[in-house]
Order: sequence, then structure tokens, then C-alpha cells
Amino acid sequence: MDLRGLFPILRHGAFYRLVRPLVCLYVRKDRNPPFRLWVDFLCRLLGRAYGKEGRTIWVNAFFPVEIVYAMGACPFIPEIHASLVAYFNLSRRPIELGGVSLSTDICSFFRCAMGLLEDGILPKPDIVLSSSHLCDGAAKFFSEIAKLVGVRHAFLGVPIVRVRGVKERFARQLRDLTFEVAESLGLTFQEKMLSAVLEKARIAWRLIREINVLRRTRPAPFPGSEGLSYVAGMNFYAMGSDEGVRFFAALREYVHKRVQRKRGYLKHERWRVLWLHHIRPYYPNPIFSFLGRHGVSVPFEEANYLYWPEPDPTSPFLSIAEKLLSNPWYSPLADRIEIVKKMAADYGVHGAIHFSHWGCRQTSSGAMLVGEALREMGIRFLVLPGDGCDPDNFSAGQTLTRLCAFVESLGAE
Amino acid sequence: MADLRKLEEVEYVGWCCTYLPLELIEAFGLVPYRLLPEEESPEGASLLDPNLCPYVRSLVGYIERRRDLKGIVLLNSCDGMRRLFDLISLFLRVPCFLLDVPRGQGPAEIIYFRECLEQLVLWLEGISGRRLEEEALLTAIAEANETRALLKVHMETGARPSFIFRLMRDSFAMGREAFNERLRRLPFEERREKGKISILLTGSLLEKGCLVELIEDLGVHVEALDLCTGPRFAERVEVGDDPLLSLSRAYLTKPACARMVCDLRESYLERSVASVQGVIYYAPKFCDPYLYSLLSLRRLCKKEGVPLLVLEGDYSGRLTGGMRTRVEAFVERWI
Repeated sequence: MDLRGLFPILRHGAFYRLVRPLVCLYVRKDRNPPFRLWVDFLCRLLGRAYGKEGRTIWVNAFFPVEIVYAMGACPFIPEIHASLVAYFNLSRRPIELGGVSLSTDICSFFRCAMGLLEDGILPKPDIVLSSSHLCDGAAKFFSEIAKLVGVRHAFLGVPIVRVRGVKERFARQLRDLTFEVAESLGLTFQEKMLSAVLEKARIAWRLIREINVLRRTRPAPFPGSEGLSYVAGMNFYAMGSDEGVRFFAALREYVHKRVQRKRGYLKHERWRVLWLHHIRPYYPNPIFSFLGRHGVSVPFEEANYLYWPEPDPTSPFLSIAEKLLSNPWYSPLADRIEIVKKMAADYGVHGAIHFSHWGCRQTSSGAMLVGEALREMGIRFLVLPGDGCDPDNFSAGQTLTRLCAFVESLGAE
Repeated sequence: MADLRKLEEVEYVGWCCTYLPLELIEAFGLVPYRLLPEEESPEGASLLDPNLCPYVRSLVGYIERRRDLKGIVLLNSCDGMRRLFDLISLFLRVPCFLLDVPRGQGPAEIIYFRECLEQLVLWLEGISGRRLEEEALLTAIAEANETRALLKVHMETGARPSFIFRLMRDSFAMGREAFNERLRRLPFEERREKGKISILLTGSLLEKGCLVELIEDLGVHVEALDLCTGPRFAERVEVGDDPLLSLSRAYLTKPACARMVCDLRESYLERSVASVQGVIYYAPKFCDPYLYSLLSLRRLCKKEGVPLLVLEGDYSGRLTGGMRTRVEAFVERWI
């Protein structure tokens, strides 16, 4: 399906304001309140961004959106929108278009985002902010597209090493960057505004902590496939917003009810498997239905691991600095291995699937090493090569063959 | 000059990235040895993702086979190097240090890098069993400044870029003193008349000089070698009260590699591209910082009306027939 004919409509903020109640009504039938809130959030966000209601700031997935909300601006994460486009099975054309400018060896999410940009479908930013985690792309892609769009790129280099005084210095850098960006955009910013945002982030954090504990229940009450889509999406996008608080409160309620009724999301759960990496293939694919048919649940996913300490609104910049410095995927792999082992134990998994997304070198190159650590715990491990955004780089046959063998190995225990 | 690899009493510390201040290693009486394996190793292919820089994959087996390394200093220059550090730390029995190098060049980054260098000093003290003496560090800095000055003189007096490239490669396996002595004794090449056509050779790791030699043999002058294995070194370290801070400042503000997010590289490329007739880009496959940077390089070349040739290598050191043909075809437009 070619959306180019719809571009003029899709680029209009009013379109999203119009469809929001209709889409929310439509998804009500699924009786999944958190999902409805996600859809509602997206429509509001896109309505704001395309409708030019205030400043729009492009950020990468791990950039602290709390800062954007505190400035009263609207965050926009190109990678998430690439995954949305893939979700609707519409990523082929933008990936092809993006592949003219960017090498096909590069992550397809970035190529898709580039293609969407070149098609003029993305809302124009007022500034681009990016941080150095998790990968070279986070630094370089955003630097390059800022030049393409003709706006400023402000970069936040996150230290990878905890040297003396690093947290305090980094917090000062964050503070200076925030004030400077706000001033350049003509926005009013005061530290107390960030404190207010962090108060909401703290509420959301506590809810996530509860949700993550609830998800340890057997049978698994909530599917990892959904954790990897809209839950991770809200995690990236909505920290510090009212919508984020509402979403995680609804999710907590939803999961809690299922736990109380002892309802797993699978009729019959035989095995439990941890999903490693932040993404999954977002276009239609048979992976999770295959696992489900064979009684293999995905009770949890690495993407939603709560790696940062509880936000502290009394010291907002220090708190955000601590969050960024705590990122285990931007640390020596030993840190990631520790949290993976912890998740494996907490969620009582029998196996783990590492989705190695094409072009994602920082994660995929650690896969074998993570696998070695899990094997020592007696946990079966599968590296599943694939592509999160490009359906043309996905082989259902090969993938299912690997999954079949993996499921058999679980049964062989 | 004796190849130090053959001397048993020499203690080597392996390194990969030119943002590492080698003076720190030398101040401990250790010899920096740039890790440039001859070929890809099968060990790397099995332990790391196959879609990873071939240079990084080559290093795995190479490091495993080297028994003469006291330690290795890797830098957080790219995702591949970070993962190589992880693999060495977790699986190979070689002491390894990961030095974080910021992507910016501002005051906060310089201070942070200085703190990281302090951590490196502690690690070097641990593996060498010696303390850092300020005198030794100042001497190392002075000797390194001499190297840079001598190389610069050779470059400015018209030495062929392929010659400079070979000199740089030789320096990676030689002690500083021996290399400086060699530079002092080296006769200056006669200033050659530049060909009518000049090109910029830009990229990351060019493992051997055959590409540079080919370009020169075709009668084209390589105006600048903007490569990780080329003369992309700090101008000079001006020592102040804090030698570590001086090193941090000098190395962070040296000619920037594409992994940096700064205006310095942008302005260097603008100046360079404006002064040449063509640009050849070379990087090993999957070199992400350079792959992304191609976007603005292409735009710049288009703006200046300068043709661009993009070459990707496999870290085999060979100039394939296909690559040779493409370079010849690229140059033919001016013949």
C-alpha cells in the first residue's frame, strides 16, 4: 500500500485530533485499556507535532524525554515511528528510499526513518537532541539528519566510565544543555518544572516496578510481544508525562487483574523464555504465535527492565544523570550479563531468545557472550538473526526452523 | 633499526585508536604496539556477530595468539571496539583497559577525558608494577612532540603520501626513540611537482598502503591522508601545570575522526574538499561512524562539484581487482 497519496492528510495535526476518538473507540473492543491509552497518546503526540502546537524536538530513543516535557515541548522519536510504520507493514518503501542515502548495512530503523524524512512525512523539528547511547547511530544519525533538515543538533555524550565526580559534572552538563536549548527555542524553563515532571516519572517508575514484579507470576499474565511494542514505546516516550502515569497505572491494573484471576496470556504454558534485545520484528510475523502454539510464553523482555534508580524530584538533574549513567546497555557487557542473569532467575525462564537485529552491532555482538553466561545457569539460548523493521530481510522459514529446534531443546530437558 | 618485536625484554601494550595518548604508556617504560593483524581470524567470526567490522573480528584471534602483550588499551571509539573489550575481558586472559573518549571537544569533555586518563594511569601502574614519574611523562611528551614535528617536516617538504603512510605503519611497531632516530636520519624527499589532479583520501582504517600507491601510480596526487592509519595526530602537546590535562586537550582537539560529533571535522572536510578535484572514501565494511558520515560527505562533494568514490574493504590488505578497476575508472575522467 502506498501512502503517498495520503501524505497531505497525514501531515496535518487536525487529522490525528479527528481520528483519535474513533481509533480509541475501535480498539476498545480489545478490552485492553493500556493499549487504548497508547493509541490515544500517539494520536495526541502526532496531533501536537504535526499541528505545530509548540516546539517539536527530535530525540533518540534513550534520550531523557523528561527534559523535553519539562521545557513544554513535544518529543518525537524517529526510531519509534519507524517501528510504527513497520507495524502497519508499510516500511518497505521508506527503507528502500532511505537505503539510497544510507548504506544497507545500517540499521533498518534508521534507514526507515531516513526514508520517512525524505518523503517529507515526519514533522519538522525545531531542534534535534541526541545522546550517545546506545550506539554509533544514536550519535551520528541524528547529527546527519539535523544537517539535512537544517536545524541545530545538540549532543549529549554520556560517560561510560564512573570516574571521580562524573555524576555531578554530567548533571551540570545536562542542566546547561537544557537551559541553553530552552532559551534558543524561546521556551520558559525553570528547574522546578523538571522537578514536577520527575514527580510524575517517579509515580510511573513505582508502577513499572510493581508491574515487573507481577509479571513474574506463573502463568505469565502479560505477553512479551506487547511488552516489546507499546509498553516499551511508552517507556521511551512518556516518562514524566501525565499520559505516562495513566498508562502505567492502567497497565498495572490490567496485569494485576489477570494475576488475581490466575489468567496467563497463554491457555497452556509449558515453557518460559526471556526475550533479549529492545526490539522484535514489528511487521506481521509468525514468531510469537508460533511460540504461543507450542506453549512457550515470553513472560518478560529485556527492554522493560527497570535499570535506573527511583527518580528524585528534589535533585532533578542529578536524578536524570544517574538514570543515564545507569544504562546497562551502554556499559561493559558484564553489567548487561548481570541483569540478564537476574531477569532469568526472577522470571523463572527455561530459555532465552536473543533477537539479533541486522545492523545492530552493539547488541548483536554481545549475544554469544550473554549466551555463554546463561548456558552456565542451565538456560537454553537461541540467537535469532532477523530484522526489526524490514520485512524483506526476514525469512519466516529459517526463523521458524530455528525456533522449532529451540522449542525442541526446551522439551528435551 | 632493530624490530623491537624480536627483543625479549621489551614490554608491549597493544593499542588500536589514535585518540590514545601513547606518551602515557611510554612514560612507564612500556612500548605501545599498534594491533594490526594481517588477516581475519576464524575465532572472531565465531564469537562476534558476523556483521561486525572485519578489523575488530581479526583482532580476536590475533590477540589470543600474541603472548608478548603486557596488556591492551582499547578505546570506546565505536560499538565494535566496545564489544571487543567485553570479549577480551570475559574470555581472553589479557589485561585490558577501556578508555572512554568523549565525542565532543568542549571544556567538560576535556576534563572528563583527563579523569579517564587518570584511571588509565592507575591501570598502567598495576600492570607495570611501577609508579608514574612526572619527569618520565614530560620526557615522553617531549619525544612524541619531536616525532610529530619531524613527521610534519617530512610531509611539508613534499614526501609522497605513500611514503608517509609507510612511515606511519613502521612507527606502530617501533619504539619511540628508534623511530625518532630514523626520522632524523631520513633524507628529505625532493619536493615533487604535484600532478594536476589532487584528491582527498578519507576514511577509517586503511590496513596497507597499496591503495595510496595505486593512486599515485596513476599520476594523481593525494593531497591529504585523512585516515585512522594516516597522520591524523595531535599537532603538539603544550604542557601546562597538569600534564594529563594537557594530553587530554591536545588529543581531543586533534584532527577529528568521523566518530566525533563536532564542528571541527565538518570544517576540515569543507576546506579539504574545496581544495581537491576528487575524493576517495575508504573504510572497512560495517564501519558505522563512517557510513553515517557519508551522508554529509556526499552532500559536500555535490555542493563543490567534486566527484566521490566510495570503497569498502574487508580488512584483507589486498586491493581487489574490482577495487583497482573502480579507482582506475574514477581517475580516468581526468586523463
